[in-house]
Amino acid sequence: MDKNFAWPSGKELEVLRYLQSEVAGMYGLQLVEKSNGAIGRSSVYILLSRLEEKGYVIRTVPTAANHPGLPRPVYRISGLGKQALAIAEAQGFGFAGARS
Amino acid sequence: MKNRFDDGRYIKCDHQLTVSVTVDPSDDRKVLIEYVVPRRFQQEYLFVEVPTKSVKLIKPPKLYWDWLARRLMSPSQYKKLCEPHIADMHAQYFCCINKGDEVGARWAVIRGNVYAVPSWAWGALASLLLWLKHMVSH
Repeated sequence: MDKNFAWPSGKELEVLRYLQSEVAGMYGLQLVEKSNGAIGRSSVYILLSRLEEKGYVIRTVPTAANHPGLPRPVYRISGLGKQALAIAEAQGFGFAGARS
Repeated sequence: MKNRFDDGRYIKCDHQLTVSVTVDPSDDRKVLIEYVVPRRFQQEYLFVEVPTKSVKLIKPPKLYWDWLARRLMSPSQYKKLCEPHIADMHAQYFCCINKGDEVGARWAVIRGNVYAVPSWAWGALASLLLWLKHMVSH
């Protein structure tokens, strides 16, 4: 197996599952709201940045926000992320207990 | 904030910005009907129209300990972990301002500042305070 390959952890798989349900992508706060507290606001961007480093998530930042200030990044699941999620679901990995 | 009418054509805001406005000349009360904000400020400030004859200039809120976060994190970490929290804070803040909910806007700033700092930084601060307390007591 490739040394750089890192399997997503249980929480990361949960994030991928929520991201897969939204084709257009999601903001970090939307993810927190959708998870009903399972993913905390303080940890959501840590999880998303790890997933981005592993290649499971694509982050896009709009050039201009629809409000003054910084534009909010939008996160979308990548092809690799979809594959990892499909494998995890097929092999019956529990979302809370998958190995990291 | 000083947002007074100045000779019927300009509103002087704080930060020395001038915003050109159009007023209804037939009305003695000079009712504001249109204002034009310089394009470069449109991304940085929110101009809220006040029912009387002025516009209100609102800057996006800052992260109080931005200087500390920039020193503790690498630029890429800051971009990935801190900036999204600031962007969320700005979005929530301006959403509340547009609704006229000033309490909600302040709360959004407080929450944004708390969440933007990683939990280990809070832990480091608590450890430092405990250490200082220990040093003072001995």
